[in-house]
Amino acid sequence: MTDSRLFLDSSVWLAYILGESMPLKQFIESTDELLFTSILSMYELWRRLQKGGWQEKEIYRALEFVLINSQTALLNFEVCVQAAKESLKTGLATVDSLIYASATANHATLLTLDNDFRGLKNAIVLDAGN
Amino acid sequence: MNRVTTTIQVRNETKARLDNLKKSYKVKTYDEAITTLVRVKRGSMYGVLARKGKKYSLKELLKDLRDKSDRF
Repeated sequence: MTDSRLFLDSSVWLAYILGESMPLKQFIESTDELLFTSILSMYELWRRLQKGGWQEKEIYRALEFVLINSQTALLNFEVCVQAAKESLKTGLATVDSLIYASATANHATLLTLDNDFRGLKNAIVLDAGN
Repeated sequence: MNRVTTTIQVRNETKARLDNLKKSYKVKTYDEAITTLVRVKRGSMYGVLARKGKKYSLKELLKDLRDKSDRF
């Protein structure tokens, strides 16, 4: 990967936290590239992990790592408008389109495990085993 | 010793991250937080929530992670 700005989707962080992709570990921990994460991923990861039975204390610790090791992308009017346009154009669901528009607004390539992004410009869809 | 200081401008978002770092590092000043930050290598949290012996499929990982339905 040669892009200098990467936007990590919730799925990528989840695979990292759960230890499901050694290449992702090596990449996240060694890259000099600027990493971004949507604030929406905090919601998704917390919800998913709490639902999965993990304790609040351990979830907090994991998400703190995400916050410290990447730039948090917040939502604003421009991102929401762009997301709405992308959703109408590509059929992406609400959060998918907000994540994708956030990556675009930050001039970053989206890195994800979610197949719904496959084929989109500036989106790299990884297999869980990659 | 009288330390020479200077003023830098950061985005509000960056200040918020520095505030988090101050809490995390248990330091009182931004100067200490930044000094600690540049000294500390990026650590690892890989597999921190892994469950022993449990392997997840891509499908399992993504299940319930994101709501794919629209409100309207």
